[in-house]
Amino acid sequence: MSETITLTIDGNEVQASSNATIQQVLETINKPAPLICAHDATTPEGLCRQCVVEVEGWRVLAPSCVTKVNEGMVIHTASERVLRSRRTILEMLNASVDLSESPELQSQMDEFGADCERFPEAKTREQDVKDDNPFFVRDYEKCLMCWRCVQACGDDIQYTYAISVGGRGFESKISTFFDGPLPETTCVFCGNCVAVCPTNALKNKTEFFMEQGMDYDAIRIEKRKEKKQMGGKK
Amino acid sequence: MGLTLGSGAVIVLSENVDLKQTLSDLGHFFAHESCGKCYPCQLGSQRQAEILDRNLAGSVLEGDFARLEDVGWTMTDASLCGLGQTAASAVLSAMEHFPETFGVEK
Repeated sequence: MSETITLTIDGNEVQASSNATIQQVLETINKPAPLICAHDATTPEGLCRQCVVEVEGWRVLAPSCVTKVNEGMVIHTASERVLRSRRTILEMLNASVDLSESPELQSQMDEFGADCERFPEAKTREQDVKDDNPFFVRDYEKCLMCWRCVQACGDDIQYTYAISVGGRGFESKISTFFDGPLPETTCVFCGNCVAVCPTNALKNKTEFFMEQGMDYDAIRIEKRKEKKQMGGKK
Repeated sequence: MGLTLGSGAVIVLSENVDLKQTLSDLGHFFAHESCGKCYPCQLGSQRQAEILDRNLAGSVLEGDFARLEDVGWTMTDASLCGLGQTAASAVLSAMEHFPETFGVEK
């Protein structure tokens, strides 16, 4: 059962339901925390830590997407620690991943004063585009590891479980079973993963071909050919 | 003392030890142990190891000290679990007590 509680956010008293997360309360006062990994269609996992806020008396910062509010909580949404973490997460991400097709991330970089040259000589996730089916390509050097595609493929939308997270640490990546081509997995090419991808790492084949300068007829012929090939394989 | 509890949490080093080498080894340990779930540790443990390697090789870049501080505090403050939250403990305390290790005047 939920009750109404009172907490303090940036010096102002706010009433909220005791069931709410910090982010839900921040939305009611028009001060939502910035998000990277979260999406309305997927379950928040607290991965990106971009939505962290400072709670007085707590040793570490709290991710507002998954932290529930408490009576008497005193929250600071823009303290020095919060801003340093948000800026540094963006800078480290930008040094590892190609964010050129992520307008949301670009505007967060501007908002938090992130320097896009902050980490020179950094190891990146540079790799070749995976092009193994007629429907979409997987350009994982643009992948943020937000897990949205894995969630959409699994329990949040499609219940297909064709992709998961493989590897560890900086080397972790979105992968199929034994890294095999998508047509050889349980993938049904529903496209839900493409729809929730924030960075264009997963890209519709038509868009991919158009960027390479192919016209409509050439794309149609190429896609038909690829579909026939895949039909034979599966 | 700002220490955490746990096995191997206290390591006694003689004053003859090469701190640059020890820190670089620690950096690689945490980069290897990071599971990769949360961004601060997944990215920070890698960035930290890179900077500590440069420090060991004597090829630090301008701004590396501030960079290491930002990476360290971001991992400490924002990581999801205890590994990331302590991955920079030794580095940040070395920066405070032995800044000369990083070519910075005390």
